[in-house]
Amino acid sequence: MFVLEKIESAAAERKGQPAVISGEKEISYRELWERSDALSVYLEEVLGEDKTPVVVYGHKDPMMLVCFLACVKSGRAYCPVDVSMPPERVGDIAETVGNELLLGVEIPESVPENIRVLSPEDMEKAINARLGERFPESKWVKPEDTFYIIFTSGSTGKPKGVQISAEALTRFTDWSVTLGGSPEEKKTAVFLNQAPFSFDLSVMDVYTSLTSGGMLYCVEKEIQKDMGKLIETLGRGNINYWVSTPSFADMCLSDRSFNEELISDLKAFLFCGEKLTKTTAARLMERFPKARIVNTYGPTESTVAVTGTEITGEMIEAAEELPIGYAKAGTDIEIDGETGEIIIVGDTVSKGYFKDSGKTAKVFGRKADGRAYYRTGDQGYLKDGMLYYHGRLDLQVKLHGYRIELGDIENNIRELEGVEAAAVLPKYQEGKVRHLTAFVVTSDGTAFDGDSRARLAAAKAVKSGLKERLPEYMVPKRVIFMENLPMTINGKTDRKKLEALV
Amino acid sequence: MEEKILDMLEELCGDSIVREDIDINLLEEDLIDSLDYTELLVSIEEEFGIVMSPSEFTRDQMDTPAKIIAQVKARMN
Repeated sequence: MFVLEKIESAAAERKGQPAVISGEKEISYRELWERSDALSVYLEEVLGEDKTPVVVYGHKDPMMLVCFLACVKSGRAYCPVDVSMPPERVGDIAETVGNELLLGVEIPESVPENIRVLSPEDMEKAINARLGERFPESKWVKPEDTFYIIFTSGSTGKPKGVQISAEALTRFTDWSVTLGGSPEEKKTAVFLNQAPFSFDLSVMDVYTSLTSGGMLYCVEKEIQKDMGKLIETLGRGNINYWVSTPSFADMCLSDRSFNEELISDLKAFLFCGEKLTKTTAARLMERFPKARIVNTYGPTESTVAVTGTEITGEMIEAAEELPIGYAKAGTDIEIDGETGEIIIVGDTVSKGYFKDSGKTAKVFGRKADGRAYYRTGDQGYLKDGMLYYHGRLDLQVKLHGYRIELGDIENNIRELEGVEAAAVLPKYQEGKVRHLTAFVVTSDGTAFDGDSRARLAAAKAVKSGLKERLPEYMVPKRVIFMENLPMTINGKTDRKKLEALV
Repeated sequence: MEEKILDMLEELCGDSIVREDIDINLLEEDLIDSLDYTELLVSIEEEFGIVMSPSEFTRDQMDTPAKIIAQVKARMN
């Protein structure tokens, strides 16, 4: 069944039951369905024939979901942008997307002049004035139309918009509903939402929950920063399906009260977004002996995830790293014989990057039989159909689940005043990125020569300069000043030498 | 004990300034993040056998090297 029809039938069945709870706010299935209908009527009135995608800005207010559904019901893709995105990037994205209207569940600090922000108050008015109006299904996005666009880090310093079609999302949810338990078990289940909506890991909880009549339980970023509140919030949620990055689970594990007693009805952990280590899996098994642990893998470009497996004690004992799973139905995994690159072939591969045919052509293509493929840039190998992850081919890393092009950060550091050269390297711990270190050469050399106070001040200046340009997770934790960056014979930055210094 | 904790902090923050100025605000100066805290608590447990759960105290009770040392001391007695 088509993804929107699945949500419609869940809404018809669940009626006044909560669809989303986020902090103090909650919204029922009926409200979600009716309010998004009303907002789609408004969008149609204002935008008419213009089907340009719509940026939705905010954090985890249930209204975000109303906006998402309103866009796709009115035949337009939505592009979620979280409040953690710095103003400059929000502006870049809004301009690239190119719609004159932006749905502001929160108000962005600054947007390009030609863009009108629909404020929360006006949105409320627009909805209330049209409540009860039904929007015709014939205008919904069609299966082949783009459902959402999610922007990810690009190596040149400009983010790339990954376009995911409605049919790709439908097929993803057909599969994701089987993870960690039967589809039957997911009806009325509670799903944890940890990731911001602009990170496609959230698609796993949002749409698995909404299409199966579950309840989405959002944990806001302010709560995630405060361990006491976080534990309390997790304990209150009656969570059944845990969807997060492994790093987030690690953070929770640091607190002793994070165990079976706190979340007694937990059925499964669904992980995606970065490497799951044996340490994390083993500790979770110890604290939550009844819950399943499911590891999945996939890039944004092939709709959240395409492989998955339940982690067993045997896998933890085995010599190799934890596997990332078997391909879902409709997907084939191929390994490039020469480079070991993982190539994903199948029915959830993206249509390509938004308004960027150059970059699209580099990594997307079609097999002789017409099926779409995507070259991931990840290295891996298959063992009896089970996929194992090896590393990256390029300068892309994953930090706490976020995909980061080191080149993107380097370019942004170089644009800071007084900076001559920069290199950014990851610090690994147990095969996983722990934090990033930036090596910076300044034109006057003061930060390099100065005392520890001066160094600290200069490092802070680099970080605060970057915070204006990049999302916080991309700002390196450590900044080391150098007289010169070491060079290889080819005149490239000698990353091996720098690696020894992180 | 102080020495050991300063070692841990220097390793975590990657800067010897934590020794030179034990009243430096680790959060404000961006020297430590929440994962570092987690790691610090694990190291303290391994080294001194003191269990400190992050939900037991607030950030401003542990935001300078001196305060961290004092917290550990208080729990040792």
